[in-house]
Amino acid sequence: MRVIAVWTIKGGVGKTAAAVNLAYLSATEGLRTLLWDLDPQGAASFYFRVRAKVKGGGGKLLRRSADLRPLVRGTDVENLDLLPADFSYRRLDLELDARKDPEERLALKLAPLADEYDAVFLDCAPSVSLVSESVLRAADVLLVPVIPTTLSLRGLEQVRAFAAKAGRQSLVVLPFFSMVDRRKTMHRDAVELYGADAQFLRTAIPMASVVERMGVRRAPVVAYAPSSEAARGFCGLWAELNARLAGGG
Amino acid sequence: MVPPLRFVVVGRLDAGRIAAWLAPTWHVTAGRAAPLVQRYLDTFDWALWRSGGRLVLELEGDQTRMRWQPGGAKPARTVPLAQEVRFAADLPGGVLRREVAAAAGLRALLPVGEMRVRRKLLRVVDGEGKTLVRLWLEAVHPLLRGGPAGPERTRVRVEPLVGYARAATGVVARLQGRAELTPDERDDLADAAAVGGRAPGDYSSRVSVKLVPDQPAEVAVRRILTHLFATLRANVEGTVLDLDSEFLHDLRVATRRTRTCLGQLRGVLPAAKVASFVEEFRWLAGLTTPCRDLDVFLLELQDRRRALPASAAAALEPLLAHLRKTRAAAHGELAEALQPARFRGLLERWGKLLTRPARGGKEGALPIVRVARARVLRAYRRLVRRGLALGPEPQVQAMHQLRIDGKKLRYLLEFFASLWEAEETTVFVGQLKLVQDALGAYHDAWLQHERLVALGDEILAAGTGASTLLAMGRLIADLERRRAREAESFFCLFADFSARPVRARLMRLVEYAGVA
Ligand SMILES: Nc1ncnc2c1ncn2[C@@H]1O[C@H](COP(=O)(O)OP(=O)(O)OP(=O)(O)O)[C@@H](O)[C@H]1O
Ligand SMILES: [Mg+2]
Repeated sequence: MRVIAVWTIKGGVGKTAAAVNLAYLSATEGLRTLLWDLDPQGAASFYFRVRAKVKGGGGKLLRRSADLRPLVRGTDVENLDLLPADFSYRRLDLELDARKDPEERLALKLAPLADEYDAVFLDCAPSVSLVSESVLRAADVLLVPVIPTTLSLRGLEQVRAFAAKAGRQSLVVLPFFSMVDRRKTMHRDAVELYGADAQFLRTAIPMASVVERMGVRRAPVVAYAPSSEAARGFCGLWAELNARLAGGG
Repeated sequence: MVPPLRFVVVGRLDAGRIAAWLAPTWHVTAGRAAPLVQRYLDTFDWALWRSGGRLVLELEGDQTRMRWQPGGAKPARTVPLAQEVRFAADLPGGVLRREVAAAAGLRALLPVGEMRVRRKLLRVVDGEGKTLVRLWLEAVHPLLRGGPAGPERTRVRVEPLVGYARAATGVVARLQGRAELTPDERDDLADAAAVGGRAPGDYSSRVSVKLVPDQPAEVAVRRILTHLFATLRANVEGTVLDLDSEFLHDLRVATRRTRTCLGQLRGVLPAAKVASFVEEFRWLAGLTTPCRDLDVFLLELQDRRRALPASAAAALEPLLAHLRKTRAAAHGELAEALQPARFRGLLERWGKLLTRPARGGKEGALPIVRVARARVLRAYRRLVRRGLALGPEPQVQAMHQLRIDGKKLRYLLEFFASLWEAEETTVFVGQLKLVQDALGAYHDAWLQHERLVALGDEILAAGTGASTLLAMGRLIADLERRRAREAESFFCLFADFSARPVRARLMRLVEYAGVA
């Protein structure tokens, strides 16, 4: 089981868009996939039309004895299951703080699912917190969407520093450019500048209105507009991610 | 009680009708009807079916996918296929492959039957448009050589989604009791297999013969031999076609068991009648040995290669390639030898002898339970005597002889298992098996050691690099260590096996009270 977290400090940069589309691609490839929506806003749950309601709230689910499985919902996509978020997740941080080894908690909760899933995607809220620390500890891979602006790139440095501190030794950090607008000089320059950064994935996700329509279609772009440039971007990203992890690329 | 998830449609039923049954609680959206072919796969010995699972190759339009429905309440796993799949190892990596491989082991995934399905998906959705339950309105039709066979059946199948059990239960409740629907108890796998003359579980390599304690020994032994004969014959085709390595293995075991039966139960069948077969079955056993030895060697080396780092694994490749060639030649010879008159004649004459009633040998009229008891105890005593006579530095030949003695005892116990208390038999056989496994591993390590040493010159002559020879050297050293280790563990296990408690267990086992 491979755990792939999508996280960065900045909000609204395409984390959920990436998590949802990559999870979909993973599942259609035949991998048993779980998408864990850890953001109290529940955007990923919304995209898959899963009603977010976690009985007893996020705190109960963090108990050592609590089994995640009863909370798992099958999506309409074969091989893809979802752990929905609900508003109670906003207190996840406090709940974690009240427990022993809060940073290990997520990994602990995922361990019993190792036989059942090939891939787990964690869609996280944008903040530095105990939750993100716990996420980094559970993850094998950290995908970091970066908008090619100076500010975002500074954010990336903070993420790298935090990941080095909080993540496992073996954590693979893979930034990629998200919401790229080729018409903007600053975007082109930044993409060019970071072309030399070996960690960066080569594939960039373009800014495209077809992605925004996910909110209306309530499905991944790769499902309803597979030949769009954005969808091809997510496919490329997924292929590159796999090649990287296989030791190539 | 688990609610039925499939219903046979009696008369006519369409999507609109079903939607009306479910309204207004649920909304139904119907897809288009689509045809597909479902090809059921299993190992020859039905390992997947026995694990409770179903493996189906689905051909729909230009898409091919594998669907694995594991046992229990787990959801189905599906994976698109780009290449042909013969073994579990050919499947794309992931949960599906892991689960199928765990059940199928080394055996090939063979088609056991085919269904043509025309189906329409009815999604039962909530207010958000989320599917809560999938309903399939489908017509299924078993296929024989691509053409329909038997009647077509129409049904409704309920496919629950993980986490939406309540909705599934609710939907089933609305379907139950409708005049148009009756619960469907048929098994698609069984239906698809039946048109080809097969049935789930119709083959197993295990000996299972139901004997009656006081039936005449001659009748009982004939039943055992008939059972073994069926197993032997069932494996000929797969061996010749080389479908997987286990056909040959099972064929050999059936041959060996037959020989044990003839040798250890001498006096039960008319001696004059069976004498010639003893020689013929020995010939058959010898015929199959070279190919099987190479199979074992190759499987072992492939296993080891997986555990090695990439560079070391590459060094073994020329050796493996050489062995594969030798093995292919050995199999070719075997397959040829299984065609002509001598083998076919043996099968024919043996089959006749088994079906034609004949006067038994001098012990043929004794109750089988008494004969069984005497022969099992004799085999046990011989095994213990020879084992205890081994010196501290075991001789390969003596160890090999011991292994054969152990097999004879084990086979006898299997033949007569139905006469004795099942639990006790299982425990004793388990203890014997531990000893046997150590002896087997010891012998294999020796055999492979000898073979590698002998192969050195051939590999060198083939012009491969030094790295392969070095890798072989490492293997040889490993095998020496392994042989020493196995000898040690054998002595430990055998000490237990020959001690009083185990002997007492065997005595208890074979004392059958139900005979006058
Ligand atoms: N490549 C893109 N092109 C255009 N719009 C996009 C793209 N990716 C995401 N968006 C839109 O931008 C908004 C934020 O995207 P998304 O929810 O994926 O980001 P996020 O990083 O998960 O946000 P948050 O921090 O709030 O969780 C959404 O409305 C989404 O539809
Ligand atoms: Mg988000």
